[in-house]
This record gives sequence, structure tokens and C-alpha cells, in this order.
Amino acid sequence: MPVVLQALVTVLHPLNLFLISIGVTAGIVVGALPGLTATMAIALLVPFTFGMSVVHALVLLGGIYCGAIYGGSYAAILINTPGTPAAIATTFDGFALARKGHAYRAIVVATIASSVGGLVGVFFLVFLSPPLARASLRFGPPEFFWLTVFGLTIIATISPKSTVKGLIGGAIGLLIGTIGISPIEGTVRYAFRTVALQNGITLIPALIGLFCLPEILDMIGTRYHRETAIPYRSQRHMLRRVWRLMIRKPWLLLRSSLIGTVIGIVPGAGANIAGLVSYNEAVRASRTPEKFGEGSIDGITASEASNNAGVAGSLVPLLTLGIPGAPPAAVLLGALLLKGMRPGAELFSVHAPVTYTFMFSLVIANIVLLPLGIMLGKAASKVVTGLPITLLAPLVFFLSVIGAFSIQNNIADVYVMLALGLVGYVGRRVGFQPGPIVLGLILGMMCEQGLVQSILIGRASGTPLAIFFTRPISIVLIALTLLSAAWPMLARIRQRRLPEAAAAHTHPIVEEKSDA
Amino acid sequence: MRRDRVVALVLAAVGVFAWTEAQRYGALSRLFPQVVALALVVLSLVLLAESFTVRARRAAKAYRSQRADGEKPDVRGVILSLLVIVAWTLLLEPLGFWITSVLAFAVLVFVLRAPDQRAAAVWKTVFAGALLVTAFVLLFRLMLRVPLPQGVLW
Repeated sequence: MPVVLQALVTVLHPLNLFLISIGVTAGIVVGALPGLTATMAIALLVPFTFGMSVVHALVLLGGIYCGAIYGGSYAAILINTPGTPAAIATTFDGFALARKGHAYRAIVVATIASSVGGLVGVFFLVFLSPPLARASLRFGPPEFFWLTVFGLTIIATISPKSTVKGLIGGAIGLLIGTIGISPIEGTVRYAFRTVALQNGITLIPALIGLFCLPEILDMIGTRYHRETAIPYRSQRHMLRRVWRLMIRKPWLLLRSSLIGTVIGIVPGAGANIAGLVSYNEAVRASRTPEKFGEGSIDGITASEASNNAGVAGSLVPLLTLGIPGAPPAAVLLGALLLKGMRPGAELFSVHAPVTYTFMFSLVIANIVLLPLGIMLGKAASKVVTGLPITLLAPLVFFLSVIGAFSIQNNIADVYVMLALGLVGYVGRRVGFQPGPIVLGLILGMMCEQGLVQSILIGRASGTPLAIFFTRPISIVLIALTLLSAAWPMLARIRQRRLPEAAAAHTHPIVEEKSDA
Repeated sequence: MRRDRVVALVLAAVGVFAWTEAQRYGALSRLFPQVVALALVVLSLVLLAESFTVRARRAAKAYRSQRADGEKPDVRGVILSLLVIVAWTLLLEPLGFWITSVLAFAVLVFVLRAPDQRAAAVWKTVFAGALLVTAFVLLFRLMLRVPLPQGVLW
């Protein structure tokens, strides 16, 4: 029997289907809790796979990975806090839609987008792994630097009310990211003799603080004007309605999934950046960009399709080269090695039946994610929207504390969460959104490493700056950066021209009518 | 807007401080923070300049009238809750995770209760909160093996 067919038969075994479903469910639950990431979900469950066969272990862990990245959307939609960093862009429109009473609709959109995005990602994983992995190796420090600069141009998109405030937020995030040991010389920066700051600011506690605490305090401040944090409206045939809306824009789904896959393949970039880049591109391509941030279905689609496509993307360099594309993939690498499987050519020859079974299990995981996600999502949205603020606000803060603590089992992370939460709350009162600050924090480290390493390489070759502008991928990224930075201006010009064009078209008709 | 002017000046000061503090580091360690600090100062000055424009004055006027018409936030409730939240965080280690969370949860429920809410309903929420906290603490400690601080009582 051919290897692929053998793998297909193996993955459809009832026990494997059961393990995939358990993995997806566990992943969704863990991912939905703020602070518990996909990496943590896989790391926590790896010990449970010690006694399992390699196939059972991998299909379970793959299911957890898919479920956890998708599960992050629940917290993003229901309490405006990304359950995992990959869901940051989902907060922009997900929570806005939930506040209008459409939490369940937002979850259905996220579920369909995640499922489709995941399947597109797996398609590339199965059919194009080796060439894509080779291409990802062409990313050196200059390319990473330009990738982060391109990422920073997203700020203009996610802060439509004031670009200057968005850019300031981004700069604050970059500055916070420099706290701790510098990546090249190892100097301790901005720690002010505080041991807790020497290791730098951990992303997850910062994320929880910046998104969650301001939301809790806002909820408290306005509790007399609303009975529950978000209203709930039930609609019949939601899946069919949402699917009809989403299928009208297949290009949005496909583009977001492709962005997620490509960025997921680049080692170190991961689903966090993928969601944001995809959201940015969705805004730029939209005919109604003003609707983004106000509860746009397209915004949720872009973010969720992309971050789940990034799951399979991050496995491309892992399986072919042994280089994990994202932190959860790094834990999966550990699990593979524990089972005696070395990534590389061996996986596609000696262990081909297991490897293809694992790949097909991701297809199944993304398919079962649809009914499971919709069932769990409906229950979660009903529970959260039904809770009174007197119970929800303390509960969300408690989950924030326990989530921040369990990242490194360190109380300092809880203090960081609180401090940045206060910064986020004050910032929100004076017109600063958490998105740009978090974006700066995510991209800061990668940006600095790319910049300094490129300068060092450039110096060694006698041309310190030429290295930034002479490599083909860098040139493409520079062009994309310039286009993205100039886009708000181009969009304004386009919008100004549209009414003129419309007027030009309507004039003759008016004249004809008046003649008549 | 006056608010933006104060924010711009504070952030420009942060930028200048970050720049001068970075002077102490080696050449490769200070390059990136100084570039960012410079950008922060420049952007803060742009924000300051923007706050003097006619458009900013119009926006401030619209914001004030919107605030006057809109729902008034409960400032007292927010400040009290913040105090509870800060105390909650600071007592986690000395007092223990479970006991601090149960107590702070209860205090917060009392702070947030509506003036006309019946005592029985408030106690019901406190009880539900204590149950949820206990369930999560057990989940994290026993299943996920997270060593939550036990405090002085255990």
C-alpha cells in the first residue's frame, strides 16, 4: 500500500480520531484562558504522551496546537483579551462585534476562518514543504530587520483615529522591549537594579495587563449602565448565515491563509505577527476600511484564518530542517526527538508513514475544529454574556493573575502585568490603544537583533549599510514597507477620487433626465 | 487639547531620559534604544504641535460635549477596585494565592454591588466566586503542576 494511503487509513482509525478530538478540545480550553499559550498547552501535555505510541502522541499534540491557537479567539472576542498572542488582531473587531450583541456570530466567523486557514496551511505543509523550507533559510538578519519594519507599518492601520498616537504607542512598546539583557553585548538595560527586570518584560503578562486590566476597569466604571459586560443576541441558522457572508469573499480567506502560512514558515516570526500582517492587508484591500475596528467580520476572518494557517506553516521548517517556525513548534520538536524521530530527510523516508499520518491528523483537527469550536463557542459566549459584572470583573482579574503567574511561575510577572495594566488604562483614557504598544513589544527584540547583527555582518564585509539594501528579499520587503507606509495617504486620495468619479458618471444621466 | 499637551511633554521627558540612560551602555547596546528614544521625542513634539491646531480644538470641544451628554463613569468604584486589585497582587506571595484571591474576590464583589442589591444576592456571588477560585487553584496546582505561592498559612 502506498505510504500516503497507509497514513490516511491510520489517521482515520477511531482511536486516532478520538485523540485528535480530545487534543482540539483541550487546546481550545487552554487557549481560551488568558495567559495559557499554545506552547504551554503542548508543554504541559507532552508528559502524558510518554506512554503512547509515536502516532498517538503526535496526533494528540497536533490537535492541541490547532485548538489552542483557535481557542485564543474566545477570550479576544468575549473579554477583549487575546487568549494567546496569535489572537491580538482578533480583539480589534471581535470584541467590538461582541459589544453589539453578536459574540456568537464573531465566534462562528473565527471558527470558520480558523478551519479554512488551517486547511490551506496543511495543504502547503503536505505538498510544498521542502522548497518552502529552503526559501525560509534565505532569511538572514537584514531580512528579519525589514520584516519587523514592515510589521511596524501596521500601526497606521490599527490606530485610525490618531496615527501619531499609534506611532508613539509603538515606540513605547519598542522601548519596553529593550528592558533587560541586550541581545548582542549582554548589557543589562533599564533594569534600575531590579532583579525582576533583568530578564526583560515577558510578552504574555504584558499582553494580559495592557488588554485585560483596562477592560476590567472600564467594565467597573460603566457597570451601572449595563447589566452584563456584553449583551447576547441569539440568531437561528448562524452557521449558514455567516458562511454565506464569508464565501462571498473567498480571496480574503485565501489571502489571509497564504499570509499566515508564509509568515509561519519564517522561523521566529510565528502566528502572532501573521495575524497582524494579515489584518493590515485586509484593511488595505477593503473597499470599506472604515468598518474595520467597529466589528467587521472581515477583520476577524483575516486574523483567524492567518493565525491558524501559521500552525502548519511553522511545521514546514520543523519537519524538513529541524528548525521550529514558532515556540509551540519548538516544543513539538522536543516531543519528536523524545520519540526518536530526527527532523529532516529521515522523516520523509524512514518515518514517512508516521510523518504523513501526523500531517493528515492536522487536516482532521481543522475539520473537527468546526463543530467542536461552534459548540464550545456557543456555550462560552452564553456563559460570559450571562455573567453579571460583579462576578465577571473579579473573575477575569483572577484569571489574569493566575495566567501571568504560570508563564514562568514568577510573581514578578504578576507585578509586570499590573504595572502595564495601569499604563494601559491611563493610556486608554488619553487616547492610546494597546495594539501598537504590544506590536512594538513583539517586534522590538527581533528588530534590534536584525539591525545590530546586520551592521556587524556589514562591518565585517566592509560595507556596513549596503547589506540592508542589496539582498533580493530585503528589496521586496522594503518595497512592501514603503507601500504599506504610504497606503493611508494613497487610500485618502482614492477615496477623494471616488466621489469625483461617481459624480462624473452621474452628470450625463442628470442631464439626460433634465433634457427629457 | 490640554490633555494631549501634558501627555506629549511627559512622553518627551521619558524619551530624553531613555536616551541619556542609554549613554551608559556599550555602542551596540545603546544603538537601538537611542533610535527609539529619539523617535519617541520627535513624535511627542509632533503630538504637542498637533494639539495647538484648529482641528485639535474642534476635537476637544466635541469630546467635552460628548462627555457631558454620555454616561458618567463611576470614578469612585474604579478607584476602590484599583486599590483592591493592587492589594490583591501585593498580598499574593506573603498571604498565599488561594486565601488572598478568595478574600480579594469577596471584597471586590462588595465594592461592585449595586446600592439596591439584596445581601443574599451579594453573598451568592461571593460564594460562586470562592468556588470558582478554588476550582481554578486546584486545577493549576494539581493538574497543571503550577507551584502557586502558599503563603504563611501553609
